[in-house]
Amino acid sequence: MTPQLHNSLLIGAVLFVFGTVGFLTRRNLIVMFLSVELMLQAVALNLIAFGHAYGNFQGQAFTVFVLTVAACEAAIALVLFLAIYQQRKTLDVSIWHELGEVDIREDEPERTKVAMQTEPVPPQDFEILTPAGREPVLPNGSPKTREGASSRA
Amino acid sequence: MLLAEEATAVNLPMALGLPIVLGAIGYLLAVASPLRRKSVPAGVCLLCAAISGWVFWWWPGQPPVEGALCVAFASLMVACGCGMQVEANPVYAALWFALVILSTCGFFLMEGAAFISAATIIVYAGAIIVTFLFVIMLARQTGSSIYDRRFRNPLLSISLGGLLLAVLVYSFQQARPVGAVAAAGALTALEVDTVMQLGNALFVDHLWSVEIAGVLLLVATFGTILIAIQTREDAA
Amino acid sequence: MPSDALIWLIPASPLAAAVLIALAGKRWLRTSSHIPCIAGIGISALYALGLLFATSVSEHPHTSIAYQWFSIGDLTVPVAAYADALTVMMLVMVTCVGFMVAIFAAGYMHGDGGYPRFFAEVSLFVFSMTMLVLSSNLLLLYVFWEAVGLCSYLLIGFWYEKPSAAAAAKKAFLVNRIGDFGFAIGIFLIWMLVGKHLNWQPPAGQSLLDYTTIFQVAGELNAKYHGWLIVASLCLFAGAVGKSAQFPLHVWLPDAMEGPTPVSALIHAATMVTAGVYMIARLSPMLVHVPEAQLVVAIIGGITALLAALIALTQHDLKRILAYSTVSQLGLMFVALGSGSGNAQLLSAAGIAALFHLFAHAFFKALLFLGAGSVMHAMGNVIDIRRFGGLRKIMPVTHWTFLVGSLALAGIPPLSGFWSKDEILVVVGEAAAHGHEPYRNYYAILQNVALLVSLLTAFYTFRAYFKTFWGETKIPKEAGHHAHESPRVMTWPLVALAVCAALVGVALGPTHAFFHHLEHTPGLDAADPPHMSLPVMAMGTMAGLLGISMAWYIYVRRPSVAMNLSLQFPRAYLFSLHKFFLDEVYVRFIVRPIEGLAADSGTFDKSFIDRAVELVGGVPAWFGRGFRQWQTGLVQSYAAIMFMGVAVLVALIFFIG
Repeated sequence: MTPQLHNSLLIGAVLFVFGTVGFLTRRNLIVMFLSVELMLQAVALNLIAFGHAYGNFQGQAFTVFVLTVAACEAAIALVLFLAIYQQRKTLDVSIWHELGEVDIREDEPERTKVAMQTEPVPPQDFEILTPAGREPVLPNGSPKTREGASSRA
Repeated sequence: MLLAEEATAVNLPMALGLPIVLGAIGYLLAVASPLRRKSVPAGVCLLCAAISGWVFWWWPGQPPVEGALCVAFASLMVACGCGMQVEANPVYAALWFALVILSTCGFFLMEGAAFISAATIIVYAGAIIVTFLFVIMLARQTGSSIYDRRFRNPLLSISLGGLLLAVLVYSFQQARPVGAVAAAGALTALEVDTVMQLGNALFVDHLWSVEIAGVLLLVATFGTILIAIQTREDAA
Repeated sequence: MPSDALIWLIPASPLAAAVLIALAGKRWLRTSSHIPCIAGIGISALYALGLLFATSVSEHPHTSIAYQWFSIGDLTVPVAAYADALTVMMLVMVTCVGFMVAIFAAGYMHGDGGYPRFFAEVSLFVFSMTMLVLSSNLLLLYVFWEAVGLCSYLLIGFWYEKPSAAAAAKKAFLVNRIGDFGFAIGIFLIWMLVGKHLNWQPPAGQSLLDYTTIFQVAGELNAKYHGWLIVASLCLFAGAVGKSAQFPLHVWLPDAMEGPTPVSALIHAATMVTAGVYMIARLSPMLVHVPEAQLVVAIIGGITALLAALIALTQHDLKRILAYSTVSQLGLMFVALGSGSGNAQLLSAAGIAALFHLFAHAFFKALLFLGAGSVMHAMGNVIDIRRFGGLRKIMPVTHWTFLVGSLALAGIPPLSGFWSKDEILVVVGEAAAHGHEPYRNYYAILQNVALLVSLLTAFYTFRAYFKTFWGETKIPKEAGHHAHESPRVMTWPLVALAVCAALVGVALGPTHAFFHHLEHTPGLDAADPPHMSLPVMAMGTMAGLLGISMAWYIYVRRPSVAMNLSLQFPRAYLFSLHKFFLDEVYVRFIVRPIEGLAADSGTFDKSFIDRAVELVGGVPAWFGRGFRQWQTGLVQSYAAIMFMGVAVLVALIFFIG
């Protein structure tokens, strides 16, 4: 076991555990999935480290596949999250508990259930960039007078 | 690396457990309540955890420049990982993740996987994270909601994670890889023209898998489009 | 002529008839179920008569095995038929009487709703009875002993909606069961004694419990285990007490008259109740060594005969009188069987006398019962002799056949009852004179008891006859327009049975034909041909005539005498009328305590055992309630548990594997 291999594996393990902890604790679907990607990244790190240690390119080849699968999975997962969002208008994963026993008490205290709102974001002033290049000519007038063009939040 | 020495039984639990316990305490302090995020004690704890982890677990046998680079990238990776876990706002969490990807790619470069590092940055940071941001946008996420700020069962999760980490670290100490491990210097010859050799490995040894991966991507594309169309019809 | 396997035709054809009627009866044979039944029994009767006249089977007893039933350790039990002279005689009696009763029943049960069920059960009964007679070993005998008990239960309770009939059926079955318990103990004792203690290996193809085994080891068994042999014999006799309605288990037979009259004629007069006599006769080679057991048999028979005769004096239900008469005659048969008294020659003569009386009794008792059935049919199901009278003008055929039966029962020469009763009296006298030393006095007493019973028999039989057929013509109003002679399908069996009752005695007794037929049976082969003893014949005839004349005097000349007698001896009259209160005694001292025990057991079961079971059932529920808490439905809970599993697995593999 060379030092480099050992250290890479160590870092990979730490990253994997970060991913696990994040998956188990976060309630936002998006961030849960980001933790999964973190775990996959740790695995890729391990693969590369082993490939380097054995002096061949099998590890790197497999990493390509891991990358490919991660990409597919990310795409499909995200579109499914969108579909889920359409159902209940929230990305909270603890909404979805129909498979459980019907009278298990939620671990959400009552008072916070009421406040299932987003915290208000202070209105921020973003710079309005000047358009680059020629503006297209639109049938109903100049683009600057289009409705809703000022809201860029 | 203190752990690798033939430590007595007294040292082993401490060497394994101290960084983990410190990290757990720091994490709990950071996420326990919605108000105490980004507090100083949490940061101090996490920093101590990182340092003790480096002291006990790191194997300092690498050549100096390489070792320093490794440490640098590792610290960056750990710091960004922590940041991502502790961050409430999903957009900022995605950005922390991008930084983790960058540091991982640094590692890849040092291990002779230049193509992989480039590909990872392009695919992950360029495509996947951007897609995440698009979805966050489409899901009307403007800032962090209550469910972002409240963490579910942090104690149980960190205990599990700590247990897993302890087992893994201990097993790394004891494990010996099977097969010929090249000496440290023998790989430099391989580090020339890695892309071509990777291409060889892919398209000669694993041609089937490459083709199937391509089909997989195609099918995933179709699937995504179909579900998205369905979603739009349901919403409409 | 009869070949080895064809003997199975005798039980098989009634069985086939039973199965056919059971399967097809309700739909297609609703009014013609009697045809398969009569045909089946008829085939058996023909074959049995063929076996009788072709004497090869009688002279050379012979076993034919159908298949091996089971084999445990040293005991193998085959389903086999053992045919010798005794078997053939019993088969002829069972099938012929059964044939005539079936024909009678086709007329008697006409229009009944359960017509197919009746004939299916009758066919099943004939099958069981023939198999009982044909069994080659004790265990198979026991099986068919129970089978005939079952058929008896089914047929007594034929009209099961009537509560009294259902209760009578249950009573018959349970009282039989008590006897069968003793029977089973007896079989176990024989098995143990022969198999383990004697350590005797049967030759190939023969079972440990076969009759031939018992015949072969009886002497050795007696030499080594005389006491145990007495116990085993008495246990086996207990079965006969139950099945043949001897004291104290006689209480079921009078109540069994709740069944249809053909059933009473077939089962409770001619065939089933004679199974006990058959069994004791079959085991003669064993009993010849135990005069103590034989004395017990004789004494119980004597008690039964006297008790039943006394009860029958005052009953006013015609079928009940005939039932008690059956019990009494069976008692006489057991008196005869028990007169062997330790002497092989005496035992053979005694056995043959008892079997002769069995044979004759079957015909005239069945005749009497069928006659009673004919009367019931005409009187609209009224059977109380106080309610009808003077029927000889209305029902001539029934009257004459009933008269023939009554004369036979009373023992008037030259009818069959005379010859058989005479032989019994001779045999008991021989036992009193030449039997085992300490017991001769008992047999002398029994001889006098037998004479007294003959007197009483003649009296109550003719009491019934005179009250039914003489006097002024009285017809109960239930009769309606039925009060005429029965149709031919019912009178022809009566005539046939009357002919048999008249002639069987003369044909078989003085000619020694019966004796010569049975003398090849193991156990009954040591006797000389019976000799005529004029003093005994004279005494028997005089007892009969005395009884008849007393009955004539009381019931025809001066009917008021009966009433005066019952008033002058009220206690005797009441005891006799109420069957000596035996049923009440049983209820008070046996039935009620057992019912109490059953109730207590039920309470114990409900409060302790049920609660224990519920407790055991509650444990999974309790666990379930605990584990339910884990099913939150949240992805992250499930993922957490999975990761925990992974961590534990890695640790296990690493540290142990």
